[in-house]
Amino acid sequence: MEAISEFLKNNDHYLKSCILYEVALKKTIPDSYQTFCDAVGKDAMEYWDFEFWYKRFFEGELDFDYDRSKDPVQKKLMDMPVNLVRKIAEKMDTVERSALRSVNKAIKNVADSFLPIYESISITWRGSNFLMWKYNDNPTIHYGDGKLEKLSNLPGFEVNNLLLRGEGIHPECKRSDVLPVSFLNPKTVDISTRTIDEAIQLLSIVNPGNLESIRLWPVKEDSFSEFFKTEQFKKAKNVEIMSLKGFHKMILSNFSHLKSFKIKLSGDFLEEDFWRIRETISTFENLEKCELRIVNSENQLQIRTVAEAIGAVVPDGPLKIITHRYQIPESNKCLEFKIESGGPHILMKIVRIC
Amino acid sequence: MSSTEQGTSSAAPAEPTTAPESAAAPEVPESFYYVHGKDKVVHKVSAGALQHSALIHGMISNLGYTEEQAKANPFPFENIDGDILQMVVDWCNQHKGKPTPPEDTNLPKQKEKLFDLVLAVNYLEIKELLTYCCKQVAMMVKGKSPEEIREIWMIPTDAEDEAAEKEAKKRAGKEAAGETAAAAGDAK
Repeated sequence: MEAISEFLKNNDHYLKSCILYEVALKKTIPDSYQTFCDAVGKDAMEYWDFEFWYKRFFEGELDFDYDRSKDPVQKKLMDMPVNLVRKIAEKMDTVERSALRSVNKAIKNVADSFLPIYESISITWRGSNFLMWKYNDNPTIHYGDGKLEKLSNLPGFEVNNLLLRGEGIHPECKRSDVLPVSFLNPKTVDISTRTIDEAIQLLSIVNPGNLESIRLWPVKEDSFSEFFKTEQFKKAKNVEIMSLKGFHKMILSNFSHLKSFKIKLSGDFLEEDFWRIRETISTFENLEKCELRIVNSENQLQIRTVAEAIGAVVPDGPLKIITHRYQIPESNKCLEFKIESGGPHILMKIVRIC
Repeated sequence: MSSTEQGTSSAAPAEPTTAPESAAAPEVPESFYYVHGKDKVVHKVSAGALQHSALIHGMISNLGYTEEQAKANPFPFENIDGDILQMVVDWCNQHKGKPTPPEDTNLPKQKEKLFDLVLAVNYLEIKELLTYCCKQVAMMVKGKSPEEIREIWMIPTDAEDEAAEKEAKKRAGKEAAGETAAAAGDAK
């Protein structure tokens, strides 16, 4: 067998016959080249030479003795000035650029001249400490020991948005040992787990220092008292809780330190409850905006009832949306309420304005 | 209950607004210039289209050529292949006086042409077209492995690079030795 490979390799016409055979099979160039290498070895012909002959034969040019020396010199990426190669690398995202690091030294230098800042990394725990992850919007799933560690060791490595997903996490598992330290300083963390305890477990590994925003996806339990005690929640500026069940109206005071928040309130609401909501929120010194989705357990809430309860002058006739501005007592600031009717719930968007 | 409420409420829909009609620009006679590439084929291009190229725009801005003078003095771009210059001229004509769109799908798909186009566009300093071309080159390797990228972009491995460097040094050494021997022969 070895002898046949050598026999083919040492005769230029035989090699070209092999290429012609691949053209006749109408296989793609990369697949054809793979078969060719399997048969005669990679050292027989470079990929771009193979590609040249393949394309020529495909176009019906079957002269095996064609003299390529008179052809114009083919431009390659490495013939370009470094500033152009850099400009091309700039058009790739962080994930695509990371592949350039293994191409060759010169290209690695170009790739390394960009800071490895990932907009988002989504990490999923399965069972004990099995991790899978995805970068940015790329659907490709990655896994493997030591890979995240290697990535996190790149100088300047940063993740802005860390998405943590837990699917049946073992309660004993120590996630902070699995995830490299440099992963734990995101600006935003987005957590989706089955229970609030799992969510708190994942949240607790994130460094509260840089963390600005927390988003929690629906969890089974509705007791968030431990969540409100976490350092991460206390230091956050923006919180969004996509609770299915909704919080009790009395929970609002926990959000007093935030710049923005989005939550759902559910229960039995009386008219004075809306007045109380307005009064509570007007005391939130740092608040810029918040969004409350309000669901009444008994009857469907009427936009008119809610609007009148917070002091809005409501015109006659059917209403879909109403805006009301409330001057905060002993302050030059106002709360602007935008109340919308959204089917079974009332959506109350509040913006604090000067 | 507090008596400090000073609420103002509104439930009015937003009123539609109409933009004022812009005044038509006065018509100015268009001037033309001529360029040729390696194949010496001359292309007539309007000054408006050539504005895309910072290099050519800089060259023509102070010339004040008449039509005859411009025709008699085409700009030579000997480093650009004729078909590539044709592509550039076509692009400049198509985008004359228009805002450039965020995507341009009419660029060549073959890498040889695209690499030539990138170099030409970089030389002619056509910023928007260079951005499209670089994006197109980047798209060629989207989702590819390092090995595939090496093949698509024709990048040698480090080992191949080193071997080529050694070979070049060896050749340079031989040539230098040959020249020394020839010089010594001449001296005799």
